[in-house]
Amino acid sequence: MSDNIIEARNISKSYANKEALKNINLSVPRGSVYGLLGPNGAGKTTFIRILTQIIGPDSGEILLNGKPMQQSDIEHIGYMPEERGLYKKMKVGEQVEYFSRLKGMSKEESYAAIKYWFNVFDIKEWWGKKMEELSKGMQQKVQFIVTVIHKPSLIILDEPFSGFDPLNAELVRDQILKLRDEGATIILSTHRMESVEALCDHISLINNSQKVIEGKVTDIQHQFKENLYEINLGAAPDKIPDLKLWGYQINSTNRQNDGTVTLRFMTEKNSPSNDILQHFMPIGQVYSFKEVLPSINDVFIKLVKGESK
Amino acid sequence: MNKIALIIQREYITRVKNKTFLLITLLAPILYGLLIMIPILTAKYSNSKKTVAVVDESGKFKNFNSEDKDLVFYNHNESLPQAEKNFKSDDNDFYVLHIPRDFDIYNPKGIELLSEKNAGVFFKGTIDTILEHQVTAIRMEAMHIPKAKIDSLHTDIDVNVRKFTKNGTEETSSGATTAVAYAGGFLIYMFIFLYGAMVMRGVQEEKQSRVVEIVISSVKPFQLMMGKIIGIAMVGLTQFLIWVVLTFIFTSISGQAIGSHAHQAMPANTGQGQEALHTAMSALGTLNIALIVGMFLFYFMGGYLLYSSLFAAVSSAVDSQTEVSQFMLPISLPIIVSIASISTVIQNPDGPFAFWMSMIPFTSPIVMMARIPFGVAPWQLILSVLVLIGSFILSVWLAGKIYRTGILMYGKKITWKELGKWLFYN
Repeated sequence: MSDNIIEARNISKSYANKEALKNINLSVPRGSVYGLLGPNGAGKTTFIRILTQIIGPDSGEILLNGKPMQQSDIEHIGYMPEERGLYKKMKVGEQVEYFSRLKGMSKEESYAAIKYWFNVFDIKEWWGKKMEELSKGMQQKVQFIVTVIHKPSLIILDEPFSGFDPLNAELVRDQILKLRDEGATIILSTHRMESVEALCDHISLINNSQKVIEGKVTDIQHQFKENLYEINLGAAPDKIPDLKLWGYQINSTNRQNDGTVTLRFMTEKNSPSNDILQHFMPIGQVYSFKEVLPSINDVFIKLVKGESK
Repeated sequence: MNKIALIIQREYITRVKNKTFLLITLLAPILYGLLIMIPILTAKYSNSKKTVAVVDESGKFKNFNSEDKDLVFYNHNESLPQAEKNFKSDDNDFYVLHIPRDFDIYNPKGIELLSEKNAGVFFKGTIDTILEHQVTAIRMEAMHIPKAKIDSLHTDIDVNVRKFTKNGTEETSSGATTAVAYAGGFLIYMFIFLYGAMVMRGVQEEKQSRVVEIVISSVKPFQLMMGKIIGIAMVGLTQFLIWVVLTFIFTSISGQAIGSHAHQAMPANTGQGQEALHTAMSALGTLNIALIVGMFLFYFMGGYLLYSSLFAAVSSAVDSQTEVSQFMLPISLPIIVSIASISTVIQNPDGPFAFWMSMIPFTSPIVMMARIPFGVAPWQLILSVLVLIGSFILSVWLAGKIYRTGILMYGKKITWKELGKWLFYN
């Protein structure tokens, strides 16, 4: 079986006056949490709708487990769209059962799965309640259950944290990681970067209908690092020697009450850490030393701004 | 279970279990029964006696008489103020018929009907007719023609209508045929609007609650649309079946109730009532009921599929119920034209207008239902059926194309041109 659960090859899609996707190639590794990033209107939702077979591409193909996607593959996908809702007048239990059966579960399988998930979220007493009787937070839990009830091997979450209160967002985050550990692959589409680093192993960035970058989160951070370091020195002299002598440029100096100093500086070239440390060891006691990698947000802004120039 | 069957089941069960559905389904035949009963009962038991005091200043008229027991004439020939004074305290509706002194039977003008309230148009008509008969009688007398002679010339003819069949001829009833023609056309009209609107609302609900994208990540948009249309059609058929059964039960009960009241009140009339009922039943028996019911079900389903798929397409394209109206009118216009033309069709059920209206798929469900009781050539019926089948297949296919794009489109002002473009999207 292919290492990638999803391979998108040369996907293009146009609407009347707009090219929504231009020749997109993506590979989603099996068992990863994959972040599909991009500003609003970049084409993320269009790509997801092609993945979920809601719409078809104008050209290109999607491979699932190395084979061209079939209509029946939809049963292995769980999808939570950005704009989401459920039938307001329908009872919670009936609603979850309905969606699980649309995903191909038998009545018995569905019942057992509902029981399991209602236990996990401690919502057994909601079974007979109508959706409209639930608070927004409660509805969000049901929404998540509807997405994962049929044990999909691929879970696609479009802006999963938008509209979720912090408690539910935390709950969803935990469940995403748990599902990943149990073998599912999760594609997470978002323009909110704070959730990306905490969750994603891999990302791709789509901007202006095109893929800008794709890879492991750490690889991308290293690719965009700016040789920025942070050192914390104890018993440092009042006057720090001029770092320019070594070709370093100080970004910030922060002296704490306990007498320690934290310096942020950039090196001109990618010097070995030990060489850098050797310069500081005579100045004071080195309490900590690390290379500061750019956040995905920084990379995102850099790339998007670079694109627009 | 097949996914489309799951959708049909959900659409059906959620609607049938709905309290409003149960209430409307149960109340409609009761209301229908009451609609029949109330006028009969009020006519029977209400105190609608009318008294007319005749003030004939011309002295040319004989005593006024009425065969209607609820209309009484007083021929006391009082003066106008006197008549008014005498009858003002009466509990019944009272009127004064004033014939002026200079009334000319050859130029019959100036007669007045005076009352405290407005005389209804039907009552005025009754008085006009009585006066006309009186004036005619006076003129005949002036011409020395004996009334008996004129009466002997008067005759009532009721032609016995029969139609040719394979086995010779059989009796038909023009009254029953016309009634069934109207009823068939009107029921189809009502069902298309009622259940078409239900489809439209259902599509809007799914779009507005944003549940639609979750559903169509499991099934194709076309399956969702068809599941909804078929599910609601089944709701319609269920409701129709319940109405037929309940109406039958209720009208039988109310018929018996009226019959027994009539028996107590007017023993002499019971036989007439039963005879009328028997005549009505045997008149219906002259129609090909199996064909009418069969074609009713076909035209209901055909017309409903044609229109509801278009309603679904339009509803999917817009964001709110209010926006639907701009697209609704052009689509529903043929239905309105059909129902408006039904009386023309019934007057000449085999004319070119009726023929073409029953071939055009947008009007055929209603118009053909109005034609069938009168008898339609088999080739015309088959052609109309085939055209309708072809049309609803085409409309469902086109609607499916618009629906799958429209259902995911938010915040965009949609035009007919835009809808046309969606037909060509992948």
